[in-house]
Amino acid sequence: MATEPHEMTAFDAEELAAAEQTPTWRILLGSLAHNVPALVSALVILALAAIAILAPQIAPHNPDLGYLNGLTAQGSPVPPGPHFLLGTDENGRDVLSRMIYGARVSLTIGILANGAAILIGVLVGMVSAYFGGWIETVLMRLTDIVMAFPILLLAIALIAVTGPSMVNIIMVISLIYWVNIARIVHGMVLSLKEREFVTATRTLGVGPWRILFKHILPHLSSAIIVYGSLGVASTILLEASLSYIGIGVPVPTPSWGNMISEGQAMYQVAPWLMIFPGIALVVTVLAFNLVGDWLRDALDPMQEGH
Amino acid sequence: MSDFALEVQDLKVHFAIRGGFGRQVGAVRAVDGVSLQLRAGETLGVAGESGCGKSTLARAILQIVPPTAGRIVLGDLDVTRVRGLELGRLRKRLQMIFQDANDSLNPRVKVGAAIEEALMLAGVPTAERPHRVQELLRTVGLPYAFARRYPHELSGGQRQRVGIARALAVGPELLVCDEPVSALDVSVRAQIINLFQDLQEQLGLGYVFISHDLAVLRQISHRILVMYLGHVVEEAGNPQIYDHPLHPYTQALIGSVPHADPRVNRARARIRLQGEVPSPSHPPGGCPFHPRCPLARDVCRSEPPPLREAAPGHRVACHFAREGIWMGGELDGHGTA
Repeated sequence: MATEPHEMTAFDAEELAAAEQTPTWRILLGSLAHNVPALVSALVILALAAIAILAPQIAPHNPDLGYLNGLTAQGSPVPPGPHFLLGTDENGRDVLSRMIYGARVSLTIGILANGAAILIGVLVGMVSAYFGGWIETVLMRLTDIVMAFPILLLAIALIAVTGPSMVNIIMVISLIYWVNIARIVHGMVLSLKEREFVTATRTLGVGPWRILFKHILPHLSSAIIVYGSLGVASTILLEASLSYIGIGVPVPTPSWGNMISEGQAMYQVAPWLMIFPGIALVVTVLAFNLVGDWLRDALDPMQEGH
Repeated sequence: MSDFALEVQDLKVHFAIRGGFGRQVGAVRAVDGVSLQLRAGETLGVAGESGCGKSTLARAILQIVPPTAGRIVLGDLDVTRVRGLELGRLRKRLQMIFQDANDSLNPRVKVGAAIEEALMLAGVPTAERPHRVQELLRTVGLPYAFARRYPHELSGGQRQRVGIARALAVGPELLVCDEPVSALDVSVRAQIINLFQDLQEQLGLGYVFISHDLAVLRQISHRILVMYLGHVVEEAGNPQIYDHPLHPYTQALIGSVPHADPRVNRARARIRLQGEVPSPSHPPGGCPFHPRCPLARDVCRSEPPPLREAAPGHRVACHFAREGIWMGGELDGHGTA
């Protein structure tokens, strides 16, 4: 009934042995082991995540309470010492505890806003590139328009309309950052849709949405992963900037940005109020950037059958 | 009511060349009036060099590329410009095998999943699909274990078998095969050609088999069509076209296939076609082959030769078709001997 079974020739066996693959994650881990900055950054990010999740357990003091012994006799902030490891602010609140809860805010907003931006951007890029025509024209012009605005100004304008709150900030930031990945995905899908497997699948009769999500989307995975990591750096920074100018996370919720802003007034008396949140921001953004760069380089040569 | 499984009537596929402001300033006449008939269970070989329009012909039949003029009839159904549901129905009866299985299979999708997707389109219920995948893989000579593999984990021949299995999954009666063995090693080629023949016997499939390799077509075709610059120049049954080629181009093509015996090769007259294939956007007037033809005369430059029946079942498009054009020293008109 069937044609004679395909005998494995010597050539087949050789080709197959050569094609046996090490799983992706193992290749990635291997490359991470050799890249010290990326390795350290990855650990930093893991530590940050742990800190953010375990904030209630880790924070030595209540971040919202002004302690009586948190202010000196003259009523000024206490410098870093045995009781308050990173000092206190002008209200007597513990800086370390506030920074720990600030990590929560920054990471949550950063990751969620970036995630939403990627979702919007990938959808816009895929749909505009695959369907073409007026859909593509409208979406790409929209992308151009959003890109034309200076980021901070656009953010300020949008927040002025919606009002500052965690949810609104996440929404506003995602509405600004989707354009970058939309452009990239648009370009990738434009070339992907000319590939023969797309023609073959269409000829079989598969519908466009299934082709987009089951066939084209897997090819976008490395771009998404890279933007997933690099983008968090940008979103965290934007949130900090917004909080710094006062329209971000509303006080008294601590955010590294508004901590820096509040500490600015007391810079000469209590420099630690600006320095520590500043360092936290720099380290975090740097860590995400380094991990993002490493991922982009590690994933690049692995496209299509290694 | 047609007694052909597939009939193409005077098909033209022209691609517009646009100048500034989107105005059409010319056309690439990839397929310029091709007619063919295919009977159920038979193989029609389509021969010709690169650029003659055979791939475009294949894609136009399947509506991957829209036909500019002409008719395509599947059995008794006119499928020339179908859209939507009717296009879906067309694609259940007619499928395509692509040249490079490395590119026609999604490298991120497992082979079994690709076949299952085709089964899903055919309406096979979810529970039955793994069983059908196993059947299909067995039909093309692959073990079920391969379903777990990605295309790059298979050899070239195995990939092409998967491509065939996937096309068969929707249950077509006809396959249009666009150079399906050209990208394979010669040793694997024979295996795949055998597979095509076995499948034709078992399943009664008809093939439009496109290849530039006349040796391949000789093995598998019942009838052969020779194309040049978007036109059919000769059409005949399988042994006839090799034994008695009538068009100068066909004779040049067949003469260019090396004979296994070097003495026979040396004894044959050397065939030299002058010039290059003209661009399909500026085809020569009259007969498309006249700039390179040793028999060309004034009539060839002005009047395109119709496809005429020169012998039963043997059609040629040439004003002066005869056998043995390249043999011996004497030739009509100018040309090298």
